[in-house]
Amino acid sequence: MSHGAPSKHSDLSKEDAITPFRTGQSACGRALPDLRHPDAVMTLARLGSFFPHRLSFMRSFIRRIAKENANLSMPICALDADGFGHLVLTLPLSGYDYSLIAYSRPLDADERTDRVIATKWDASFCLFDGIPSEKDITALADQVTKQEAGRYHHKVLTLSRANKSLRLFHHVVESLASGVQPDLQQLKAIGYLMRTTAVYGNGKFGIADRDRIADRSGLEGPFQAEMLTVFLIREFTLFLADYCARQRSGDAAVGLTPSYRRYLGIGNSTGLGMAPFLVNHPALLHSWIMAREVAFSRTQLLPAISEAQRRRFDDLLDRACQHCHDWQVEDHIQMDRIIILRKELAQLKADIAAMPLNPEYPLKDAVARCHSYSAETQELMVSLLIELIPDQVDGLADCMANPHSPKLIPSMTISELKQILSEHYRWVDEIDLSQETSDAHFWYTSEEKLEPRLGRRYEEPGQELEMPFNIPRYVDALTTAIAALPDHQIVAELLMERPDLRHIVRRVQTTAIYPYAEIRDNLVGDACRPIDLLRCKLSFFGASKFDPKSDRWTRITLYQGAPTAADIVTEYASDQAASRIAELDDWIFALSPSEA
Amino acid sequence: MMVSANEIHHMIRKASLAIGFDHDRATDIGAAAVWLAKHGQDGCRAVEAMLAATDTAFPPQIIIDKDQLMLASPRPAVEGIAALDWLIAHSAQGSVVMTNVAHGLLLFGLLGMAAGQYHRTFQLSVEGTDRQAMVTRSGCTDWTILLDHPDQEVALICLPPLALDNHNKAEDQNGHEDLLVAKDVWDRLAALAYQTYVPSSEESRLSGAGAGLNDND
Repeated sequence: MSHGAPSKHSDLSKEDAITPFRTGQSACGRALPDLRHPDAVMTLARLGSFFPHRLSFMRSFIRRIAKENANLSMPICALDADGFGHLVLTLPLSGYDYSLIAYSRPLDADERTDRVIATKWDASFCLFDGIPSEKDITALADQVTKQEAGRYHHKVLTLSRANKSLRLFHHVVESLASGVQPDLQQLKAIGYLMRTTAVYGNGKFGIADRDRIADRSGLEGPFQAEMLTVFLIREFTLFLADYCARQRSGDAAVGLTPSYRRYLGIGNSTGLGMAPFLVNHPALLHSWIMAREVAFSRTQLLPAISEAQRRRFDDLLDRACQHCHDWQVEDHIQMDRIIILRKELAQLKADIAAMPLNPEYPLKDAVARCHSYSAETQELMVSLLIELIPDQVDGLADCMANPHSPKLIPSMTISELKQILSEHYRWVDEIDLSQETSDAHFWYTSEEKLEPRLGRRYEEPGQELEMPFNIPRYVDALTTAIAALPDHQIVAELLMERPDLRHIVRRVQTTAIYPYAEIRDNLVGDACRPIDLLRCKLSFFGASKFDPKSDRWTRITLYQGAPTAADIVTEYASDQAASRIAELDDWIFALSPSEA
Repeated sequence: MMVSANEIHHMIRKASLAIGFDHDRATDIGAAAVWLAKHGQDGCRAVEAMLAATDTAFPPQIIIDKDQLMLASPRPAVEGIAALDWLIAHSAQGSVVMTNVAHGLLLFGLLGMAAGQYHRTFQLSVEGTDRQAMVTRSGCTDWTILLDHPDQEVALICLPPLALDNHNKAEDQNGHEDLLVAKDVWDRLAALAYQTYVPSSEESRLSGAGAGLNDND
């Protein structure tokens, strides 16, 4: 099976069919191997078991700045003795300067909330295109500290804010001011000094549209401006802790030790706002999944692996075991899954110790041994295996930005449309649409800060304003409408009679071109767990330690274990460049540091 | 006021939904408004005027005679989109003949967007005159052709892309750093868009990200 093969439809150009696989220097131009079927991959349960991987956007970002030896600078620091004021961090990236302007403000405890509906934060940020002048900083101060209530211009690329983890921030500052390193157990328990509650990009509130930077070297990949922003926020939090300790104790203070700095990431509370993105950007979703599936399939085609790859496999499996051992959450559903994951990983290790992987197609054997294991273990294995073949994987990152919007193919015949439905929408047949449970939920935009939310259709008002996510019902309506139509009739004629079907026709046609575009599950059904959508998207960001707080939102940590800016700017001999980048890039399944 | 293209798209899309357009058409109307704005035209005002006047009832008066589709007093966002679909499907020989096109600027927006998506050029010709306009993804050669000939038949055909249509993203906004929208127009669109939001309830609030925890931990 090759899901990326050009379609037979005359209106589909080759470019459309292979858009995720641009020709050129990258590895993407290769012929596609057999891939896992979208029916198996695109279920909520499977997507909700994804782990971060080397194609995750944070990983790509770190690789790029490591290759460029990007040197972080702080052109402006105007903080007072308590760490309040503003500062600017500037990072050069592929020939452009980008600056995080950070505004740090005092915040009363009763005003500190992680909700998107908050109006004040410990720190507010924007990513500025270039190096801002004092005038820029002053002009933006009143806006950025108001976040969604401010107005911005195209020099602002992203907008974000964060609150301190008070417990850890104060502990770290007090420890450093006392001349000692903070308690490792407290670091491990929290993992971040601040957590963000939103990172806005793409034209929100007047900031630069994605189109403006989409072709710019360094930011052309998905969410790279956002990843850059969070990287700089992390640098800000690390600096702020050291700064506050120094302000308190002067030379008696010590700096946070590098291994601790590297372990601390940025916390994040993520809710339903992420979920509609995946449904509303089907071509982009396809490109993300496709790149990951192609990477995985390449591991399965390896007839043999080197001794170095075998050792790396063992090391990563050990690390994954330890990582999962460290992964503790309060949510009982996720914790039960983690417990199973731990057991299965231990079992896999024991299996391999007793009977080493087959010499022929060893990574296929590794997957086969996980055949009866949980989706969590199987998807962790996908992330692990693609670490082994970086040369065959990293180029795929260039294929993950899909600029194409779904478009209608009005010349398609009804016969062709029926064929697509039969091929890609069989999953709808398994849903009993006569039951209220089949559409128990509806997705909507709340008037409160326009937060996307999920309502219960038969209990709450507002279903008439729902987002168009009831795919099974739309597909059913389309199937019924075309059942008796002549095969040769074309879509344009159908839509003159039934303009209400244009949305689902376009969506179905898009799935024919991009088979991983559609989540093949009921997003409004009673059993839908939105957290699965969040985890899928967050895994592509590179987030780890998913910590669900309900089935609708989760806490995560970003950049935990990733190199800091100081790690990246190191002296090295030119013949060590590749090994240096590989070392900096090796932070999957991050482990806690040893005691400093 | 200055706004981003993404803001225009979503504001127009929501305002169109509020009036009664379905999601598909609302999305296309939003994209058309963005295309117009990026090409120096007041797409927001054009859409706002259309939304204030439109009747979204469907189907319209469409007559198809072999390779010709005829429309009387078409509304771009209603019959116009249907006619465009038909024309793209019959791009080799088909033509659309229209009279009394209302909100013609929006039709240009839809044509420009389609020109980019389908890699086509659209040609409008006023019957009985030598007046013509070409719409490509890069713009339109005569923005007033429909305005100047409201009562005459205008023929629309679909052609391959012009060889000279060297699309350049950087030129999309015609030198505008940000897109300009009149505040009164924006406010009216925002008032419409607001109708697509569901009032908040305590129950819904409690299920959002960050809810239910002590954030001073």
